[in-house]
Amino acid sequence: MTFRTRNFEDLNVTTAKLGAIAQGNFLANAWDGTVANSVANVNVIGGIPVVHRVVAIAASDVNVVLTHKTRVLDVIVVAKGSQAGGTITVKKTATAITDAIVCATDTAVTFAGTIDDAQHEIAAGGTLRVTAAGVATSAEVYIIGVRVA
Amino acid sequence: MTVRTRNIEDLNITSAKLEAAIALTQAQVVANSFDGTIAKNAANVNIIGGIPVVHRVTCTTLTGDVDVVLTHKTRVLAVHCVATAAGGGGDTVTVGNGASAITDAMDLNVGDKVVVRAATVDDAQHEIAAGGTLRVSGASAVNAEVYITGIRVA
Repeated sequence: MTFRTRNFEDLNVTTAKLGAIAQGNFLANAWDGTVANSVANVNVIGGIPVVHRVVAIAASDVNVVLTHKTRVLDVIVVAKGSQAGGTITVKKTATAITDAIVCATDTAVTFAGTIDDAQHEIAAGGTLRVTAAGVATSAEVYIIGVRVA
Repeated sequence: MTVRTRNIEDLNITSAKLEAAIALTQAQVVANSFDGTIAKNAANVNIIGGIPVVHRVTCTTLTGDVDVVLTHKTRVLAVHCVATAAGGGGDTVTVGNGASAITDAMDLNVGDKVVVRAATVDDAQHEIAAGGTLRVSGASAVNAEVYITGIRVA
């Protein structure tokens, strides 16, 4: 006898009934940091980093209200224009996490020179802020982090 | 009667048939199997962080190009090289979008183990289309591990 789906009126597939699922069983191009596990101190298995990308706005702040607690590990700035003395600072709301990263020459890549470990964790609901100093400062800003408990 | 898998001809466990509250745990994912195929495109000012991807290319006395034809559109964020032997005059690595340079020519005339980062990324070239070529160009028989970090983009 062959059973069809219609013969199973109350079939419930719980996680216990599923085996290992291959990547092909998941929707492609659909995952973000939602699924990333929190990364503990002295973690044995490497965690998945997350990236926020922000186009900086000259002489302004760009705010991102995070839905997941995140520790900032590094910041990369790719300048999109030239501005003598231009800088990018990544902050936890109004408090700086990084130094003022030089952003002065088109196409130049610069990195955070300092990260304040008293400020580097932004709570869920907290604000990740990218502050551009300089009236012509333009940049792609990449903030690399990990989720933390 | 006991119903076994072989008794079921057309049972498909699609998303529509899964319980709304079902949560697939990490233990149900094949270990060591996820790559950028499932990574979502990262938009500007994304609220939930995107998943970066890394391409690694070993350069062994490389003079010429190593080409990687990408299956997914990718923006190159950063590149760094780890020298695997002491360099010599003229040793460089350049990462390109086909024949167009994305990075500067990174100077690998450095000591063994030294990390050299891309100093420039051209935002006119940094996005490589699906089917496009990520190119690592080496000069003067350069020895290095090259790591290209990117994100998928629309």
